[in-house]
Amino acid sequence: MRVNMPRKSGILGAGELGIFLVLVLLIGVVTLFQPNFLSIASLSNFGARASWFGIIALGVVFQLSMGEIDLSTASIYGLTINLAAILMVNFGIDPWVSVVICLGVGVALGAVNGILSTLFGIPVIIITLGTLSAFKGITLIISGGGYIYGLPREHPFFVLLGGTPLGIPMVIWVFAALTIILSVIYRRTRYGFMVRCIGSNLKAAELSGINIARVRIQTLMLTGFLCAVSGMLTLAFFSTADPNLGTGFELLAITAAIVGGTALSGGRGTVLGAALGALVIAVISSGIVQFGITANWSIFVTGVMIIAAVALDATIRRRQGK
Amino acid sequence: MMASKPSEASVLLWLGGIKKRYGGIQALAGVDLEVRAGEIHAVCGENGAGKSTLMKIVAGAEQADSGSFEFEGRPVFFKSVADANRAGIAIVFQELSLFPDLDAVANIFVGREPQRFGLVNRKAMEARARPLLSGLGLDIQLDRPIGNLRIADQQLVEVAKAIAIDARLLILDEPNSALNAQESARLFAIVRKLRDKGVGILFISHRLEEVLDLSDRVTVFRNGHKVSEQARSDVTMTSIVTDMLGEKDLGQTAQRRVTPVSGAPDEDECLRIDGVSLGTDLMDFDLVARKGETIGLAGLDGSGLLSIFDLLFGRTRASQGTINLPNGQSAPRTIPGAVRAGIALIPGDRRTEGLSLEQDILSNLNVVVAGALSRFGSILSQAPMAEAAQRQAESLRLVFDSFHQRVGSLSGGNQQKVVIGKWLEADPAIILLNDPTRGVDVGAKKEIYRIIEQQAQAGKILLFHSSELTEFSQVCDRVIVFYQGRAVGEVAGPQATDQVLLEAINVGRVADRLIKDGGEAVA
Repeated sequence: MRVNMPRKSGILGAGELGIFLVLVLLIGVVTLFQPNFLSIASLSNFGARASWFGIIALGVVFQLSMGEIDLSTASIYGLTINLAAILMVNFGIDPWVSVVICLGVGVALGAVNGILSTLFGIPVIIITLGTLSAFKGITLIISGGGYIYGLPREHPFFVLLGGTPLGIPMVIWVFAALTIILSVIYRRTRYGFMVRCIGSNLKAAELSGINIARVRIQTLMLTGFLCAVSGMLTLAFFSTADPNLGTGFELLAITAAIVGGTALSGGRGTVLGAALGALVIAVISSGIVQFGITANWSIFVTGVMIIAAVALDATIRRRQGK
Repeated sequence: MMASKPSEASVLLWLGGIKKRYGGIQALAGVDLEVRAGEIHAVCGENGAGKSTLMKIVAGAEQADSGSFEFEGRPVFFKSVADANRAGIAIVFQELSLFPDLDAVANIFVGREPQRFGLVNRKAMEARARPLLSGLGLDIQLDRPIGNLRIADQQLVEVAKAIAIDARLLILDEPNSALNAQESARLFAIVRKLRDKGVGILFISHRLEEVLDLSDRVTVFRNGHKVSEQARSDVTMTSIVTDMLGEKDLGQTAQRRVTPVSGAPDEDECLRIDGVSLGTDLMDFDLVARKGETIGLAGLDGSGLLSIFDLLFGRTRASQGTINLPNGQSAPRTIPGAVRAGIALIPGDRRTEGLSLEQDILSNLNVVVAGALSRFGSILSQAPMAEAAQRQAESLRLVFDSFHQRVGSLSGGNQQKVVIGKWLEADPAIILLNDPTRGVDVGAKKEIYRIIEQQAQAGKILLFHSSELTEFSQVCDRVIVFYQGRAVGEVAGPQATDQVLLEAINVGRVADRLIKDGGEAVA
């Protein structure tokens, strides 16, 4: 017997190829009618839009893969942005220190979700239905419901992380780097392996001695961290804080992951696919605006696209199953 | 010609030449059965003998391929359980068929709720349900969701549901598997009352004592055939066992040599269980298991032996007593703790408990070593995982195309080998086997016996349970018999034939001549 081990070759596996082609097709169509869509300015614009929730979507891939859905991501994102701004403006704390505190808060809020879920044996989707409002409520309370101005824009934090190295916004660079790092974590680490095992058969994973609760809490902490990272980059980019920033991001992040090829049923996912999925969603909303159609259509089109992507995936899997 | 049709008016149900095939398996090869009004007719047989299939056909849950079926003198054909219910036949299924979120009253009348002005008449339902439930000794809140009740109470509600139909024929398929002795007695009193009112009763139980206690007539099935049908006064426990197992199995010699075990039992590296109890599920259990021993745990459902697996695998904690593992540790508190302590559990239900069917062979074989035990560190490289898979595939003689093949695409026997392989790669000290050959073919069974023997020779401690009694003598050095939460005796491997065990697990006693020297005292 020979060990027969075909490895995925190249960056794109079969799972990501489909969503990549969709992305290329969409960009092609938009560019055909609006040639300036391919300008650096325009690409930076839609790339940054994709990155805000795309960074969160990278964590959602781990959640869905272990069979969990987290609805509180956008609330964690918004809370860290406003908390950081308040620490800098009202308390005069150094921006770097504020950022480190808020990254820690993001991780802690994720841990709260995981611990509550484990402690009471309630699915994460239910717990986060609650923390979605609770975290958002904290944001509104501490911010007083209004914008926060007067951030120290000359500080290196805003200059560096809000900057545009080589003409491209920093958030896009970070998004790209995180996509690569998390892709490796997902595919090549013990943690990623356990995530997939749990999502594929929770009972079998439990009876194989995997500590389900620990992996679940780790995954929610990871997602909380990514929400905070995205939040800090958003703050650096806009230099103001708004309690309503990120509204709807939790669903966009889940959509990006699913459209990118992560199974809602667990066990199977792709980090790179989620990143491409985020880009596809951003192209659709940017593209629709470019065509002069009202932006309201983009939400409709996004919805249709989710159904199309999931239906296609189910059809392919049914064929393979037979 | 089929069996001649009896003409007596008292015949309630008459079946002639019933055949039923599932794929390649002939579950019923042309059987006859007759139930008279006012009799309790017990049907016995080993797993797979065809008795449950026949009950399902009578109750309308399955349809026969061919044969005659008459009820109260008229030919009938039931397309569904509802059809049979309307005709006057009710069944209490082995698996509970209740709606856990509905209360007892709603469950009893589901699908035929009494109505008033087009609305469900709750008062009428409660008025009818109350005497039924109290007759069964059920003291429950009528409006509590049934899922919150004890399993025993749920089973009694299931019985109440069948009685509420006012059936002329009542089928009880292991109706008391979750009931204790007192609850069973109450149920049987009601069954007798129904019989005296003229209801015909078909009764299936694996507990032969109950069969002898309750029935008026006893029919035995084997491999889809009816072997015997006799009045209660003409049968004995031994004659039923003989009919169930067949002549060829009598006096079958064990195929396994008892492994000579060296060293005194108080030596280190033993698994020692002292006076362990788990509520009333398991009471005051002692065991000393030496390296290289394969110990069988035989008993009926609910006899408590599975509690030992749960205790050793960290799924529950003993209410009393101590457990000492070979490495000197005490009982694990969690499953991950048990796995780290070198304990493996090979479940029979591999599809739900053993494997990630959508994942590939490589992942499944490495889930314990790479996942739970972290033997390959935090960053997984493919090489050690492929080596592990290769090692197990070779020693288990796994038949497959590629390590990246989905485990779900393998045959049952090969799937089970993957479950075994993922544990053997962890090199455990204690292996718990819970029905490891369930649903695998004969060839794969032989292979699994071979693997068990290899592991024993490698110095593991193996605890083995099977729903097939013939397996014990083939793999075990000794077999401990469980009855109602207690270990009631021990039989040496070669003597632990299916006949001996079937009798022992039913009467809760091991025949004196078989008691192993120095074995556990008979309770």
